[in-house]
Amino acid sequence: MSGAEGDRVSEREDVWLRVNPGSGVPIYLQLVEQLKTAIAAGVLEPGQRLPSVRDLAVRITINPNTVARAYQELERLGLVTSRAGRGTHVAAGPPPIPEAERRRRLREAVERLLLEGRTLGFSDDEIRRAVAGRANRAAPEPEEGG
Amino acid sequence: MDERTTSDPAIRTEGLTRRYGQTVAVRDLDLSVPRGSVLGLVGPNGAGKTTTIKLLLGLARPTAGRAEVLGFDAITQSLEVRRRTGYAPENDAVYGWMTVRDALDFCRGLYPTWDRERAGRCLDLFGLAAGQRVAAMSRGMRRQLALVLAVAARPQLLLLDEPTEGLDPDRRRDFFGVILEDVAADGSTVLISSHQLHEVERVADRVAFLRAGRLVREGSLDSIKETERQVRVVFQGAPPPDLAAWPELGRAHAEGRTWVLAVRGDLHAVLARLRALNPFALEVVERNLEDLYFSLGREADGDAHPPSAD
Amino acid sequence: MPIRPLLIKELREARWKLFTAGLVMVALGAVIPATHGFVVGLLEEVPLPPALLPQVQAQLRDVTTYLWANWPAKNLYQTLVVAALVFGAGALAPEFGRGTAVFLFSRPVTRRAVVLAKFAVGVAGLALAALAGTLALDLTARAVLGQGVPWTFYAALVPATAGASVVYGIALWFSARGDDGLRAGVWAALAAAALSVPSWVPNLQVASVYVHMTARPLFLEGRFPWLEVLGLAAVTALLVLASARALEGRDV
Repeated sequence: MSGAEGDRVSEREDVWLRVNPGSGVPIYLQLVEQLKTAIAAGVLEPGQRLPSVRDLAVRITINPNTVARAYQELERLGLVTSRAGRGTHVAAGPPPIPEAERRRRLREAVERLLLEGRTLGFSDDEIRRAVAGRANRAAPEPEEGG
Repeated sequence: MDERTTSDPAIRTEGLTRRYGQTVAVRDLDLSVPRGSVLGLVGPNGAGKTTTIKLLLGLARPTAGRAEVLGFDAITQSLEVRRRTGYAPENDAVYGWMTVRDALDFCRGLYPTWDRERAGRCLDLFGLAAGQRVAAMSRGMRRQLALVLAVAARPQLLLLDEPTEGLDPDRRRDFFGVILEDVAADGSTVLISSHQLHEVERVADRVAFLRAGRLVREGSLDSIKETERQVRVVFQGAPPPDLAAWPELGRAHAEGRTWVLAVRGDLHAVLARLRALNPFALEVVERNLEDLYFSLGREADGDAHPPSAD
Repeated sequence: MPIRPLLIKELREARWKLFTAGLVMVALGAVIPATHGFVVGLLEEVPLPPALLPQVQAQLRDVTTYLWANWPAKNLYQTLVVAALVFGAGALAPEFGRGTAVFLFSRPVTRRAVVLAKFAVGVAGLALAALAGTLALDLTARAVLGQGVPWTFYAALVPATAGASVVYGIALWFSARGDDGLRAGVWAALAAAALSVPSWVPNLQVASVYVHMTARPLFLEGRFPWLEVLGLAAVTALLVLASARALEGRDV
């Protein structure tokens, strides 16, 4: 059972946690990515308590083992801490992602972008210009669809 | 009562086979379902899903092989199995003359673990009234009643055969909420047979593909997804001549200039090797349950791969 | 083994059948004494061979003989046989025909317990209906003819019910093998008809269920047929166990 604080957190989760079971990405990885984003964006603050595995599983209708696996993965990445009987909390301090990992992920994102752009018939130069133009803008536009 | 150790798998079958005359409904099934997991049993009609469930409950007898449920033999200790197992059958089987209350009273007297409070909560959630007669209910309401009857006994194992047929999306969500609560609260094991692959994908952590009575593939959904990945690649020129011999690759086929390679081994090794060839495009294709369902089905028809665990 | 919910379920499911059987029995039991005067008058106008006349008239004028000949020796057992066929044939086959067998047999109950519960409710229903009919006979006789029936009429209910349970057991056995109650009933009726063959042969009457159902020793000698009742009960037990076995070997 979650306390008053837990309930407040839970209402916000429903807004930003969106699991898409039809995508080929394992659901636990989708959860990990979304929780990472939420922590990076400050939606979840350091020290804040995450909902219990059971609560979250029932609320977003996914398997509790999947939620538990996502929490384990987040803990392995140092983004959350969990202590027996006290639940799972967002870790204090900046998330220590290893440099090599950061580079690898960036490279993958760029590759996806390049492939998409080339498939649409853009030249590498046009893609480069689009990226630069976008990066200069102050705030990103909201994403469409779900 | 004689309780088996919880380290036994919830379900274990060895060479389980059931023939009906010339047809083989279930063929040499070796299945092991760990406790606390939610297994999606998927396959086309006539794949043997319902027969498998009936064999587990002692409603049908195996022609060969054996099944153990919660540590009890499915035939000689069927009563012990049924005491601890909630079952919502494929067809609406509750007596039409019963009201919701009659059905609850009937089951309450049969299960020592009956939980009145949980039954009441589920009825409220589904909006089922105690005085409603089963004969006057819609298909969806009967499915919900069947689920209430199954979970209110606080079973260690839930067997759900096509549980959400006839339910609208909102009710489906409530339906799975009840099941997941059960799993999370009691550590129950759940087996869901379903055509609704996206539903299975959401709630199941393990999946078993059945086809023509045979187990095609079984294992953790995540690891199947991770090991059944494909890479789509467009080479600058001709593909490397030794492509078919790469140890990490399964089937490879071309659609125009685009090659789709099934990756059986280490994905990152394959990517590194392909990147070294400086391809025009390179992409990892994540496959959802439906994709896997079809490609495993094709493999099974060609009888290419033996079933493998994760 | 919790058998109470099974008993309640069977009682509720069979309540209209039980009620109808009771109603038919009461109607028959009441009609017999009420029409005594009419039948006597009718027969006195029929020209009978002079040799037979005194015997028939004596029988008719003796109320107890008249009632016995028409109730335990005739209507009671015949109605019981028909009701037992209907109850027994409808006990198991319709569970399969309607698809409710999947629900019932996936509960934590043995198939034998299901069969026993159905048998208990069915036979208790038959016995109660027969008792209600006999009470109706007794009360109507008191009101119309000025005299009730002796204890032997009530004692005769026991062999009648014991014989009816044999018939029920036969119908149950057919019912355990089919999906259709009507078809099981037809087969059981044919088997029941075959059982009446020994009653036509004087030397074989000891093997006739129906002869035993009429409780002749009670009327002729005032002796309760213990041995016959025990024999019928033993045959019933075998039939019920055979039905349970047939059911246990069956896929649902």
